[in-house]
Amino acid sequence: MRSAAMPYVVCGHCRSVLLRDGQALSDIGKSAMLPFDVSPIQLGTSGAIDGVRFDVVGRVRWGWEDGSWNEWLLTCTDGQARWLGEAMGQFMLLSERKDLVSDPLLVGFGQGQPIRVGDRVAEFIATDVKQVRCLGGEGDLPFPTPADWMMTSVDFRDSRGRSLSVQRDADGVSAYAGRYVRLEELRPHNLRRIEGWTLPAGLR
Amino acid sequence: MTAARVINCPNCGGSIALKAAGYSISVACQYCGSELDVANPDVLLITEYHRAAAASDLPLGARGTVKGIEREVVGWLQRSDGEARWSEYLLFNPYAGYCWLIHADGEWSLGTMLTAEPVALGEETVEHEGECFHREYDPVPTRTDAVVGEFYWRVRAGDTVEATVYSDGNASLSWERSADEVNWTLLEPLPSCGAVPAAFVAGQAPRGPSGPPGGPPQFGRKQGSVPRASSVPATDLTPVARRSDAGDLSAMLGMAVATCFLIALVAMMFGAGGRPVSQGLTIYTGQPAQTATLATLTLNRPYQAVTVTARGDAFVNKWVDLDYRLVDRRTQRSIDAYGLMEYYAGRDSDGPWTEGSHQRVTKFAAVPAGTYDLMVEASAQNWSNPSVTSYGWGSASGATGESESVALRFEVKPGGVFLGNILLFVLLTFAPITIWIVRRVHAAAGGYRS
Repeated sequence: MRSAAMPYVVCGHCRSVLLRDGQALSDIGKSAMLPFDVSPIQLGTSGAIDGVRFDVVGRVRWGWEDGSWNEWLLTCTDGQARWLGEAMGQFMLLSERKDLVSDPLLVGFGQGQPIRVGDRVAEFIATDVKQVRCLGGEGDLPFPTPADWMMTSVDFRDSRGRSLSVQRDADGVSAYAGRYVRLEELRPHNLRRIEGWTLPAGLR
Repeated sequence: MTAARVINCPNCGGSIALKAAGYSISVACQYCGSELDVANPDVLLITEYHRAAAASDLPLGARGTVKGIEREVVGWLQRSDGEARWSEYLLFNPYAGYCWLIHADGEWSLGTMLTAEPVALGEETVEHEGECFHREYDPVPTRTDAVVGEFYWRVRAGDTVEATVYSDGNASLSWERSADEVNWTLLEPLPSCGAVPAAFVAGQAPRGPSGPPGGPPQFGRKQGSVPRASSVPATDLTPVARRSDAGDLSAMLGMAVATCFLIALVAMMFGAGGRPVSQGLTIYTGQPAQTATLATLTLNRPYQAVTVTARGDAFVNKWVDLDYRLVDRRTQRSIDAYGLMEYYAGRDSDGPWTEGSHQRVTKFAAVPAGTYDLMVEASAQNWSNPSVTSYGWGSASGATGESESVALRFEVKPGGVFLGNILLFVLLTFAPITIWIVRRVHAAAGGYRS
C-alpha cells in the first residue's frame, strides 16, 4: 500500500477491495482479475512532467464494445492527482476540470440529455460517445471499481491536440482535460520490463 | 513475465501469440486467414476461412529498427484503390507504440498517427504544425483486400474507406474516413527502398549458442522484395519464385555460389575479432562451485560470436565444469554455455596413457549488440580410477578426499569463426558447381534440350 491518501486499495494478492477509514480497513468486495496486457507502465513507475514529480499508484481498466484502455492514477508532488490514459499505444495526461462541469452542455448531460458528435464545450468538439464498463482495478484508487460499473464516456478534441474526457455515471458528471504525451516526455523510471524487448535509448 | 498472450484460432486450432495484448482487438489468423475478435477473454470467430493466409514481404514477427527504435511486424494489410495496390505493415514496440510501414510502387514510407487533427484551410488545403498540405486527388474508395496479424481496431478483408493524400512536397498526410471516424496519418518517405526489408530479420533475434547467425535471412528478404509496379496483379506477390524456371539454371547456380560467398563474408565480418581479455581463477576440487566475472564486453555489431578459452594448470585425473553466463546488462537476460575440461592419465597393460586436454574453447554464436558481463561458475572434481589407485600411480592425487587446487586462466575474445560454418560453406559452394559440371557434361552428350 503506497498511498494512504486514497480511500480505496485493491489487494494485489487476493483482489479484495479495501476501504480505509482511519486506521481501520474494511473489505467491501472483490475486484476482477485484470486481463494480461503489455503496458510499459506499472504500479511504482515514477517520473516528472510539467514541473512535478509523480508516482503511479493505481490503475483502472475500462472496456467498450471495440476495445479497452488503461487509466493510471498518478500522485504528484503538487498534491494534485492526475490520470495517465493509455490506449492504442498512446498516452494522454489528464487532470480534473471541475470548472467545465458548469458548462451548459455538461449540465444538460448530467440531467440525462445526450451529447452528439460535433457538440462543443469551450474550444473542444465532441468526437466520440460510447458506453464503457469497468474491467477492474489495482493499487490505490479514489473510488471502488465494481465490475458492473457502467458509464457514458464522451471524448472531445481541439485543433491543438488537446482533449477533454467527460464521464457520466449514477453519481453525476466529471470532466478531465489533457493532452497527448510521449512516454519519454514523462521521464519515467521503473518502467515494466517486457520480455524480449529492450528499453529504447530515450527511456534508459 | 511473458510478453505475449497466446490464443488458439477457433477455426484451425493454430496457436497465435498476441504481441500487443491489451491493445489488439482483432486478429486475422496467420494460418487459415479466419478473422477473430480478441477484445474479450473469449476469442470469437468473426469470419471463417479455409485458405492459406497470403504471403507478405515482411513476415509477422520480423523485427527491424526504424528511426532508431526496434519494432516488430504484428499486422499486414493489402489494400487497393481503382489504380494501385500496396502493402501496409503495422509495427509495434511496447515502449514506443505503433507505426506503419507502407510499401507502394517499390517505395517505402513510414506512417505515424496524428494526435492533433489538421486544420482545414479551405476545400483542398490543410495545415499541420505550421506546414500547408495540398490535396493530391479527390477521395477514392480504398479497399482492404487481405489481412493477416493483429490490430488495435476491428479490421476485416473487404473493409472500404474513402481516402486521399495531402502533400507538402516532401511529407504527406493520409486522410481516411470510415462510417464512424476520420483518421489522419503522417507519411514520411524512407530513404533507400532495399534497406527496409533488409533491416527486418524474420522472427525473434536469435539467442544462444544454437541460434543461426543474423546475416543470411536478410539476403533472403532482399530477394523477396523486388520493387513492383502498382498495376501488378495481386497474384504476383512473390516474383522471385515465379521468375525462376529451368532455362535459368546456370544463372541460378551462379547466384547460389555468389550467395554462399556473401554468407561466408558476412559470417567472417560478424565473426571478426576484438581485443582479448584475460583473467585467472583458482578453484579447489570437491568444493562448491566458484563464480567469477571474467570480462565486461561491449559488442557493437548486430550479431557476433564470443570465444572463451579456458586453460588449466597441469592437473591430472580431474575434470572441471565451466558454466558460462553472458548477461546482457540492459535486459538482464543471459546466454548460457557450458564447457568441460578434463585430463586423465594412467597405466594399463599397454603402458601409460593420457586422455583429455588442459584447454577448452567455448563459443557463443550470434550474440546481439549490447554490453555484457561474462560470468563463469567453475567447479573441479577428482576422478578416482580404481584400477589406477590400486597400482598406486595416481594415488597422490586421488581418492583421499583432500581438496586440491586447480589454477585456471580464461581468455575472452569477441569474434570467432565456426568450423561448422566453413564446412557448410564449402558444401554449399561445391554443390551448385558440381550440378553445373554434371549438366554441362550431359548437355555435351545431348541429354538436355536447352
